[in-house]
Amino acid sequence: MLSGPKSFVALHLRWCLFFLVGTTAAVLWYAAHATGSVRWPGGGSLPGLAFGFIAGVIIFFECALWLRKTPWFRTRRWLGRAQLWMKAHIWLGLLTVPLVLLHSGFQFGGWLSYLLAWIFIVVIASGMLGLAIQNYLPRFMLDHVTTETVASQLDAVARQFLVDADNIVAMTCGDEQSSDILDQIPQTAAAPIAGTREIGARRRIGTQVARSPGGSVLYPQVRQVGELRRMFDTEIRRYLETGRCISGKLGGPRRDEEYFVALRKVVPPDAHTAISALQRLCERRYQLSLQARLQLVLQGWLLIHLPLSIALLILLIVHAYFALRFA
Amino acid sequence: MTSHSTNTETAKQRSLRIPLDYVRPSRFQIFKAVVALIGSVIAFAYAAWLIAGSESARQQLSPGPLVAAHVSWEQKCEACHDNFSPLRADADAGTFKLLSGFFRRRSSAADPAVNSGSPHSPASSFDSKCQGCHMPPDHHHGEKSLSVERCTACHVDHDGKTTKIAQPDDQHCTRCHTNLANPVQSFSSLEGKHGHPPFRSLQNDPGNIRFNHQLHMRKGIPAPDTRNQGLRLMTVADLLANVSPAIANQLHRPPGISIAEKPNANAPVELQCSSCHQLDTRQAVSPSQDAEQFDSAGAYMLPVRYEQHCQACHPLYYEASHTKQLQHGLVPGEIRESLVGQFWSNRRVSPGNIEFNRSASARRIPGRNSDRLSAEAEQRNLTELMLGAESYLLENKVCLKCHVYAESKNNETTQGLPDVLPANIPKVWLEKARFNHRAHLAINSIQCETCHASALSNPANGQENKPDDENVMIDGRDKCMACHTARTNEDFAVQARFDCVECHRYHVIGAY
Repeated sequence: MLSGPKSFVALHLRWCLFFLVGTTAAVLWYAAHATGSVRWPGGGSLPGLAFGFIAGVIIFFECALWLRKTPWFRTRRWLGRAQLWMKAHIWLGLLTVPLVLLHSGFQFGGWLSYLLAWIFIVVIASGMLGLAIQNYLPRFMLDHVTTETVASQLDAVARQFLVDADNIVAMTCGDEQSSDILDQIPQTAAAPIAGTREIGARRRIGTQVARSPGGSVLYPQVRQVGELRRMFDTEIRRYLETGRCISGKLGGPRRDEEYFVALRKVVPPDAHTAISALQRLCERRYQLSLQARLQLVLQGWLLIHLPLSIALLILLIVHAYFALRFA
Repeated sequence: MTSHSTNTETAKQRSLRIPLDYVRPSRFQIFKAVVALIGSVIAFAYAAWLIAGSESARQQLSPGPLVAAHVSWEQKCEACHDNFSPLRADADAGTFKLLSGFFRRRSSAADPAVNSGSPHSPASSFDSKCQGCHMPPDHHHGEKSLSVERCTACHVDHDGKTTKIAQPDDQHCTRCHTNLANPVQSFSSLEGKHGHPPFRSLQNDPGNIRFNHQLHMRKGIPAPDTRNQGLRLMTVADLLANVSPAIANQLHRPPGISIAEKPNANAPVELQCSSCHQLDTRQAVSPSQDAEQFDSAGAYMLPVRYEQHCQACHPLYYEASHTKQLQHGLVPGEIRESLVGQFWSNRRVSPGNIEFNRSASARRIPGRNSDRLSAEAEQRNLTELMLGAESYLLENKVCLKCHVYAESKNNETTQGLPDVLPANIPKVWLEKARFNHRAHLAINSIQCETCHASALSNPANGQENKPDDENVMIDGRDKCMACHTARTNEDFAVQARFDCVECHRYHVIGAY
């Protein structure tokens, strides 16, 4: 639902009006029924029953969104667009708030209804939080995570960065380990071009190419790069592996810039190409870490919203049965 | 915020890092699914526990603790609740009728309200469980059947052990009483359109007794002085001389004289409120109208009795010697019979043998005609006695001192002695409310004169001296509201409840 204010209004105006009209109608009907009575009409009254039934149906529909997203129904066009479902999910979910409030007669009741009410509150609150996050955070990520990748592949891409960095350092330092590192790269049927090293993932499925286009870079061996090896082994490698730097010297564009400027001063100029490549990898690693954190925020509210929604649905059925039975 | 070095890797190159079979759940998604599963299991387990129906599980369903009187059924919902038969007054009966039919459970076979689906069925059909223990009387014969609410409309349980379930909110009362001829909104609002109206039963005095409280409460009551033809102060000795010993023992003693001590015979009579008004300390034994009004010992006063409270000062002499009194409470015909009885008892002749003796005296015995003359003379004497007594009673206003003669169409056979109107002094003045004297007198700041100040008005102090038979000696609504009010009161140290049920009852025995 990435949208600016104007597009937000255009997308949600009708639903917002529907929500307002529905809320107003419910309140007016409830107020008319409450006129002259000593207590607020409860769930067993006519409006109370109606509101409870409607809210229950809406909650069932809200949970149906999960089904809509499953592979069985994801591509079913007759169900309507996913955007429509999401808008209905949002605004009908908000509509349940006044309906449930009026249905309850402004009382929590016993333990079951008390628990149900609080679960409902947390579900609504987490949903609204998620709505806000889902509308703000993607734009933030677009501005600040320029090299965004597939969220589920963050770890795999980070490992590729590590392999690339090992390869670069091995070539620059002239280590024998470079062949072992190369063995970690999935090999294809085509033999590599002599004198080159492959950097980047190899495509394993589909059209096979010997190497990534433009991905082969030559890093000549340089002498007197012991400091490079040392710093790589102690800090850079760990940072690329875990995304965290214990010394705090890496992690963020400014820190990386300062770190590698200092590194360039202690190594021969011939190694600066490799150092620049390492710096780019570190920046990409930072982007991956940032994306991972933002992704956690973007999806983390679901850890509350989803299980509580399921609990809400189950307890709703129990509440409806017992409330009607012992009205 | 961000500063990027030159990134030579293109988007295409970046995309090539992603294997084409990347569609697999991430750790986060797996974790999310596990958490959802855990939540589901917990919810199912809780639901299963509730459905299993153990006593502790039933506690989860209760909206609140029961009142202390019902706590024995805390774990037994079925004691009051029928399946799909709502107890709340605002529940929609029609919907629950459908539900009960759907679940094939009848709340009650004899529940016409549920079966009929009418939301306006008599309330009693919903209250069968309550009426299993409670059978209160109806409210008012004029109450509309559609206005009769269920028990739960006013008596709400599941609100805590200390809930005063028998004290519903005023709104339950004012909901109807606001729309009556004398609308009442709340007792706390004295002014305005819907304040509590003045007490109707105190508007007029229905009694037919002439009495002057101020005169009787005066220290030293004047009485006719037969010797000097003037007035003198009555003494205690005068009182004791006019009553029987049993009554004399019950007479109030002058202030400062204990029960064990004999009163000073020459002390002037000084009456107190309690000289004539004693609390009724009897306990009610059966639900009768009187028991409803006298349901609390000490709530009301015992009726004033002539023999106990009046005779000492107001003997019913019927002749100038002031030696013979009439019995109180007789109608003119009974007065005649009483006089006849006293005459013949003084003559030591049985009243039932008058005719016999007359006939016996009428027999002619040679040389002995005096018996016949004696009987006629005695009859004349009797007639003269009766006429004299009646004349004395009328001229000296013996009855009229306190009573009012009735304008009766059928006068009694005794000539010139009309009947008097019944005293008609109410046992309970506040007909529509409950009052308890003992509870009020228990408060130090409340005395008799607090609410009955007009009985003690003193003309010497500029207070108006009104005849009692035209005024009710009870101050009324404004005095009650001095304490029974939401406002703080500087004159009284107490602030009493002012809700409707503090004084009124919905379920009234012998509803008026």
